[in-house]
Amino acid sequence: MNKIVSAVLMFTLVMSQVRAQDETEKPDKPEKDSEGIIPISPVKLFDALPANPKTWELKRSIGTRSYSGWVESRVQRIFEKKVIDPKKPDEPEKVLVTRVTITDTGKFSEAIAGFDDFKPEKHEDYEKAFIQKYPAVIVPYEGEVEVTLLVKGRFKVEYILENQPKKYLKEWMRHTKFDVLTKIADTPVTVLPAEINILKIDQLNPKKNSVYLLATSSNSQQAKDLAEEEILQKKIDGEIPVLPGELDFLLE
Amino acid sequence: MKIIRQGLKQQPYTSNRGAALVMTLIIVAMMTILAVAFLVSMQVEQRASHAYANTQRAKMIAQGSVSHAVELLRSNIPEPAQIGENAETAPGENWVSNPGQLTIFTKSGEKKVPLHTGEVDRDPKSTTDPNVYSVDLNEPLPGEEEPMIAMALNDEGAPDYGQENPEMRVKWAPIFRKPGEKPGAENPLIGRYAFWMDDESSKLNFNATLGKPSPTEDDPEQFHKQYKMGLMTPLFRRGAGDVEFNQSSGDREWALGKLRSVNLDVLFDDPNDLDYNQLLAHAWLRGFSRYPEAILDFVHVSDRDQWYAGNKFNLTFYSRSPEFNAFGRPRLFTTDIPLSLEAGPLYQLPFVYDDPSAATIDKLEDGTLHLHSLLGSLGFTHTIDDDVDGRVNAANIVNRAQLEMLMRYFRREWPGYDGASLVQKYGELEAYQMALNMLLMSRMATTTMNNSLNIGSRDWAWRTTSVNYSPHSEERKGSNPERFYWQIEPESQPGKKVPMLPQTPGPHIMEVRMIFKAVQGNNPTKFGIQYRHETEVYMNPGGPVLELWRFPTKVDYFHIKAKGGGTEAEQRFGPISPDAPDAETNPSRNWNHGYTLGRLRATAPRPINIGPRGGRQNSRNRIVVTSQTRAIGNGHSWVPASGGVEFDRKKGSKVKIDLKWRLGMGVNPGWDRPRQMIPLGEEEVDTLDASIDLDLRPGEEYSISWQIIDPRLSWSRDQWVKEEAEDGTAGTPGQLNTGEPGEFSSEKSKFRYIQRGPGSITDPANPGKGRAFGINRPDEYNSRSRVSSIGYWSTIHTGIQNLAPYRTMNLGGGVTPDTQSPPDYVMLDLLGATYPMQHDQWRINSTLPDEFSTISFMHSTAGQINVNSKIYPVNNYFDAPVRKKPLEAVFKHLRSDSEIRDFVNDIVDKQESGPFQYIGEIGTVASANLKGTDATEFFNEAPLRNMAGCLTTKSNCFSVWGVSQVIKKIPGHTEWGEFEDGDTVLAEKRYHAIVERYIWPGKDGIPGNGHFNSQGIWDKLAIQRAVIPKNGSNTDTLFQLPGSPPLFKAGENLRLRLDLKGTYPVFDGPQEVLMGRYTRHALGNVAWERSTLENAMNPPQPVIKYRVVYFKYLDE
Repeated sequence: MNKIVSAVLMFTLVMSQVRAQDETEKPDKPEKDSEGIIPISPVKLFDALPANPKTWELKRSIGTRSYSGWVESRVQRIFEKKVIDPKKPDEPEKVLVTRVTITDTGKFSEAIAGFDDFKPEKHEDYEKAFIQKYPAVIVPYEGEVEVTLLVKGRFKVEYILENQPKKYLKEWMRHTKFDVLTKIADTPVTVLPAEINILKIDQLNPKKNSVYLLATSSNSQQAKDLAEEEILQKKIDGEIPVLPGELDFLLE
Repeated sequence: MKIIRQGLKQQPYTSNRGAALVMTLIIVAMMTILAVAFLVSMQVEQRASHAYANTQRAKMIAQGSVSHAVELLRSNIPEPAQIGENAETAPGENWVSNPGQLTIFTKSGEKKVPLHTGEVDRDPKSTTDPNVYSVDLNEPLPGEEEPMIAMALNDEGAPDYGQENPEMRVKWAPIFRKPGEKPGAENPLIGRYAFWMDDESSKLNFNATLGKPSPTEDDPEQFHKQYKMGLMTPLFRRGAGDVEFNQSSGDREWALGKLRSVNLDVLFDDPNDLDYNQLLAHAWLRGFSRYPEAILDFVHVSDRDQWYAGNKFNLTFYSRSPEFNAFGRPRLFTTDIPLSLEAGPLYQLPFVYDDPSAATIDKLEDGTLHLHSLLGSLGFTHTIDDDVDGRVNAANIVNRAQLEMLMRYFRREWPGYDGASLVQKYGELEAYQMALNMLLMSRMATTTMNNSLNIGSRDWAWRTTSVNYSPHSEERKGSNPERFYWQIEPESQPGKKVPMLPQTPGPHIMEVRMIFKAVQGNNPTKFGIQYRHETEVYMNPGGPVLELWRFPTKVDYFHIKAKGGGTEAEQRFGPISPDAPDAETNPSRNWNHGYTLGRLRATAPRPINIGPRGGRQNSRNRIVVTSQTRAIGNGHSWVPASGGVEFDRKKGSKVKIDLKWRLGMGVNPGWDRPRQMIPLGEEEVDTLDASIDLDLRPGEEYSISWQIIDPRLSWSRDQWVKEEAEDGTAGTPGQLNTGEPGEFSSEKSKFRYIQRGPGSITDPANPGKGRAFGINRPDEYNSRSRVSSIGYWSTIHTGIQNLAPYRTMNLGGGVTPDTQSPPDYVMLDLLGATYPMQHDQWRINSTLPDEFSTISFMHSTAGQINVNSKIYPVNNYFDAPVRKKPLEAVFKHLRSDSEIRDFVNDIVDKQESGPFQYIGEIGTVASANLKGTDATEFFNEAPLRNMAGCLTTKSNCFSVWGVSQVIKKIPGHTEWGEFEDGDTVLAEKRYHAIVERYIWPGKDGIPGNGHFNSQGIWDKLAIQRAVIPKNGSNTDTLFQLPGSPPLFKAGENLRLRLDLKGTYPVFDGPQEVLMGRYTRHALGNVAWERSTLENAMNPPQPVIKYRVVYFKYLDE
């Protein structure tokens, strides 16, 4: 009995030493476990996207549910329109491209970090403003403008307009059914599910549709696994005392 | 008196002359009669006396003829190899037996030895007496109709009562008055004998066989459903009563492949005419029956005598066949400790001996090195301090020696396949790989394992790593998993080291995907680049259900460079090469390092279970697991997703990313050990690589997939086929890989392993529907054993190094015939099956084992059926019926009756070109392969794979059917050396004897040491460190027996364990044997006392002797 008690005491002592040793090593930035709302199906998000506006050709219409630290549902449509500048009829056609993307971030903090402490402001490279009451980040690039709105603190609606004046944005927003998004009720915040249905929906080429389950685990579990395994290995190596029977499974 | 006197008085006086004469005549007559009677009587007595004497002479001749038969066997069958000879030096002389013939295969060719007194070369009708030159051994006794040996059989091998008895005629062997001298008037022929030897192993042994259920039988075990599901092994119930060690009464389950799977009931029109229950109960409680007619006690037919007469040619009560390979060395048995009779015939030849006075032949250490078993599970708890201030695992020495032993066999030219070795066939590296595969599979077959989902998953994880290699404690310390690779040094490439891992059972990684994603920072023009990887994990058919979290995907090397957006980033975790300056110091040489590679692993969450298709416990057979999301950064630590280097899109919209990484499957627990490496190697070239241009746009994923057709080939980077997609859709996550064979394809049908572990399984073709069967099969000591057949080793991969996906040991049945010599099936010849007890001999007061009734004893196994069924001699006067029923019995119910008939006929027909040298040859006959949708390699080879342990090509037991005569030459006959037509036969005896060739257990006749002390206790028992309670209810009682190794009781476990601090029973004989320093720590110690071989009580050298186990004069 005394032996067991002393073994436990020794184990505790060594454990504290192990922790102390860990602390002396390179600091490990702790990671929080992901939390958020489980996004709705991308199928439902399609309803909010612009349909096929007249004179524009729908080139792509895809929906995905993916994982990037948290579950994310995303739909995107790409429209194209070829125009000839009446003032320059000899020049080749100009291709106008519009990408409209709606992402249900599930309020995952990292996904909407760009909108933290949002207030309208102008920077050298970008601008923050409210557009139709939604906080928006506007980034101009050469020949392209990129506007991202945050709806309900959850849905990112992104417009990338190539070869178009910024004023076209209003038109694209008019075709976007924001009420579909605003009507989606938030579900309780939760931790990451054990498995996520990873989806790919290609409305123009349904043969490319795919689905699979993706198993995930938490950051804290990973950290715990690493710590436990390290201790176990030290026990196997005889660097830490072992409780009676603890390593019997290694015997045969 | 008065009346007489009166009478006399009344007689008148008459003359009495001549009375004396009359009286004299009467007396003379009476005396003459008496004399004649005496003379006649004396004559009869003399004749009787002569007849008796002649009968005795005939008996002596008969007994002498048995000696002749034994001498034929003794002088022609090669002796086992000497204990000083190893797998490299033992002579390669294979031999096989047929009824009536031995064939010995040497380098110089075949030698055929007739097992009879001579083939008839003269027509018996050429003489008045047909028996002048030869004799029909099958001829019924005078006044009887029943033939001595065999009744006529029909095309199916069943008795044909309407046909004439077949003639089985052989030549006489003469006996002269003065043996050894030339015949002549003074040395005439005085007797003669003839015999023919049948092979008992070509018959059905009714003590060892029973039978699989038919498909139409009411079978609670649903054997045929299990068989169709491909379970290894399917189980069936047959016979009543307590039939095995440690099993509760009433449990009567058998694994297909045990000798009880051989269908004795093929000898009956109605299988119910055989009383299975009584037959099994008799064997269990009383031991084996000891005479041929004992079968009748278990037969319920209307005319038992007729049934017996018709079937006795197919029946025996005693058959055994040797468990030695073609090199004369004991076969390798699958058992975790060198137990004797219960688990197989190990004792007293459990070790490969290495005479310490001889040169070190096994390189590693002198003395006894390793078990005659495919060891896997011993000794990893026992380390030894060595001379270089480090520790070494004792059992690893054994494993390495076993690897060397297997390689020596693989380098040998196999008898029968001129000059060809497996190394020549497959190449040295593949041969090494195959040997490693065998070692790990044997470990998995024998190691103890919990069957609960949680603890069983832990055990499976730990035991299925490369745990059969254990490095020295100072060997590449901290380099994980590299220090656990087998570093093979091929003879063909001096100075080179080739890392290898053994073939592991599932789960395996089938696909890995790396996914990059640009993520906007707080400044929306600046992007971080996140990455994570996904691994698709797959469980092969028949695999257990396991908690997937215990099988994390770990990253062993990671080198990423990113350039674009006005900046550069680079991170490298792990030394670039084993020769790099930081190879021994870089903390990332450990794939668990908590600040680098350890954070890149992908682990499934706790509730997720992986299992075979059809597996229960909420399992699936293909699961995709993701790592955490990380970010590309600089420096020496991992970077969380929200951190990392920022790439400025204003300065460039694309970032070029170069990646080189190596990953693998580790285990938890098992910190340092690998199960699978992708790829295997230590140089930067041994990596998966990719070079992409990533668009700095929010939300866009770029994915790269690497897929493999056969995950067991994952050591080779070239086997991983890369595919990229800018939209995140590269690869086939969760689906069949590109080029991967379908789940029910022939190619994948043998993607299996020794079946054990947690979970249950429903029909893979209808997952989740119908009855679920437990996956686990018990250990080798059990009648339901997972290693019921040596054929299960056919799931060993033979194409890992040669990059041949899904190629396994070829037992026939596949698309590609095994045409290159030597055929794969020769490997089966190295292996012995395991046999559970058939008899309650170990529990009764610790008395001696009943060796007669032990299925496998001293490397000789009862009941195996010899595939060499062809009967010799072949001529017009020896017309023995074709013996088919025993072969039919082996395969009965594994296919339709007509398919089995065709298979047996093909096996019989193939023997026209010579005997089978190896049992695997039967897989080459035309009808071995099925036709139709079930014709996968797995199902085609199923009869051989499952029943291999019930088959043999050679026998240890021979029936001698003989006749002896005492002869008298008649006057005028002067051919003194021959029997001439008209010579007199003074006496004749017909007999049946069974001769056994066996391993001598020593002069005490007991395996182990049988010497008693004054208290009646074995005084040379194994010495164990603690007293074990003798109460059989607490433990088994093996430790009390003279053949037992040292054992100890661990906790509450009924099963005793090998006491590594104990000593085996004393060995003796002229050659010293001992345990090496390391082996002693792994297996326990061996004691040895010098003695002559004749006086040895426990000689480790296999000494062959012969004995007559049955003898009967048929005419008494």
